[in-house]
Amino acid sequence: MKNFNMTRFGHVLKLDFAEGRKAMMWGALCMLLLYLFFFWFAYNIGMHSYNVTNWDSYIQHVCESVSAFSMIAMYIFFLITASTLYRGEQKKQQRIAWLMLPATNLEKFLSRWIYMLVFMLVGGVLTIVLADCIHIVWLQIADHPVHSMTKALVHNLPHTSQYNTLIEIVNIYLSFVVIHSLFLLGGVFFKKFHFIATSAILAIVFSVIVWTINSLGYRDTPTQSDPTMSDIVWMCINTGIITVFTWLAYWLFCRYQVVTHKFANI
Amino acid sequence: MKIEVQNMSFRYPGQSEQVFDGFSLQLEENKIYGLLGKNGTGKSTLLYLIAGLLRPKSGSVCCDGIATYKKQAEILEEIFLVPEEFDLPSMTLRRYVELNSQFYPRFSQERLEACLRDFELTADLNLGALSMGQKKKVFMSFALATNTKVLLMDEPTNGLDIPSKSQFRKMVAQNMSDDQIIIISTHQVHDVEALLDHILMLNQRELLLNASVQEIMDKYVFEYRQPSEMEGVLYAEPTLQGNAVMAVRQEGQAETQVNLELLFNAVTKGLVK
Repeated sequence: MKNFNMTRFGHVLKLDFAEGRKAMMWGALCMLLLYLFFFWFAYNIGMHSYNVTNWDSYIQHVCESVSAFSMIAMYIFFLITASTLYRGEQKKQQRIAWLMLPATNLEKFLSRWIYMLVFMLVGGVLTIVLADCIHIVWLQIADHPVHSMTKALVHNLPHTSQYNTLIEIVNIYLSFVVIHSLFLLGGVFFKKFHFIATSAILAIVFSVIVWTINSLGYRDTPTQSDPTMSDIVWMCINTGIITVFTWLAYWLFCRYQVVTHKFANI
Repeated sequence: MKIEVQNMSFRYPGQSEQVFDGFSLQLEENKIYGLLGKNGTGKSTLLYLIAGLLRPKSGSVCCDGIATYKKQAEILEEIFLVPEEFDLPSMTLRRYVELNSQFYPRFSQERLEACLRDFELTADLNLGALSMGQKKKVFMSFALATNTKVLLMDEPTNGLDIPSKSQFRKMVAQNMSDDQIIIISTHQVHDVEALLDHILMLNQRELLLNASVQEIMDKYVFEYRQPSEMEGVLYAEPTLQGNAVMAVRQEGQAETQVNLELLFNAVTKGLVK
């Protein structure tokens, strides 16, 4: 394939990781401190608010609260990571260096995408596990009953049960990816304030959709139609939106120029 | 390799004024081009268009028949741009070279070391701790070591100290190969005067002068004359040594070195076409 050379792609990937290593370490450190702060905050607030008699259920309650906050923080971190994919190329000089790198647009785009994925895993997921390990060590040292925040978090994740079919769960995760791909597109489209600008657009679009639905008098009433069929339709729509957003991000990236005075990359 | 700009028009997005309108140019290998022009005439823009960093509104900018804005890897590995201002990542030079040299098939480590030696630098540098001038020396050494067929330099001597400017000239002259095209855009004409083979002078939207140094030397002489010897003078500027003049070369008159500053002023005033 003329557009993709594995060796060259490896070089681009190596360069991306070498130059983005510090950003990744800082991101991970911030997330670790945030997760630790959540635990410290929940533990201390609870101590002041309740008269703790049952330590086992108290710690369990703390872990559950922290896992909920951590999950939200992790998802926001994922969105920020996606929207700051090309933050490094905000400056003209860095953009020139990146665009002049002898590799195809596809190789550069894919390399950044993989970097983002690893950044998300390291900064968002691994740090949760690390923060949990620190909690557990601290609980043992403080002679408290030991509970894992990660376990509570995994338990809280949408999963198949007697109430949820596999396709419904897939749709829930896909809708998260839809939002994520929108932020990826925002990251490529905007030159500055990627996350804020994309969030603002998302809020406006969402408000318009809700307002349109309300003004049309639509009510979510149980219908006779096959629920599995509607789930499949939603799955197709979600997959389609993800594909379109990702393709648009790539298309915009291919049209990147060294124009400094504009807010958007068009 | 051949660079062809055909009937190209360009304006920056969101701006009404055209930078280029129906602009055409052909650049051939084994030549060092000097790109001169006043501020804001589009010298850097032309370099960016050749490098594919900007997309023409109409017409084409091609390298060996391939439009550069498409940013094909095969074309990019033959073009190196030294911008006026640039950032180097905070890492050692060795690591930088290790990461970046792989993209250039004809990269020469020996040439890099020789250039660094000429600039009195070593390979064990931390790029984050260098001054702007040192960074420029490192980056230009790297640019020459890539051995790309097209080398674009925007104000390469800005920020260089006096001995480094002559080192720069020496390095470019030594490392220039027959299949290379070098374009130097600059206001510091004296720094590169001796290097250039061909002069391109830009004015708003058009090429005021597109001539080889040999053609200019064949037609004109550049010398100092007393006020009483001003016959045949096209353009003159008073200096301490007398009048620096540009005059039509008479038959049998010896060739003189081109004084780019005089030439530039004469051309921009419309005295020479």
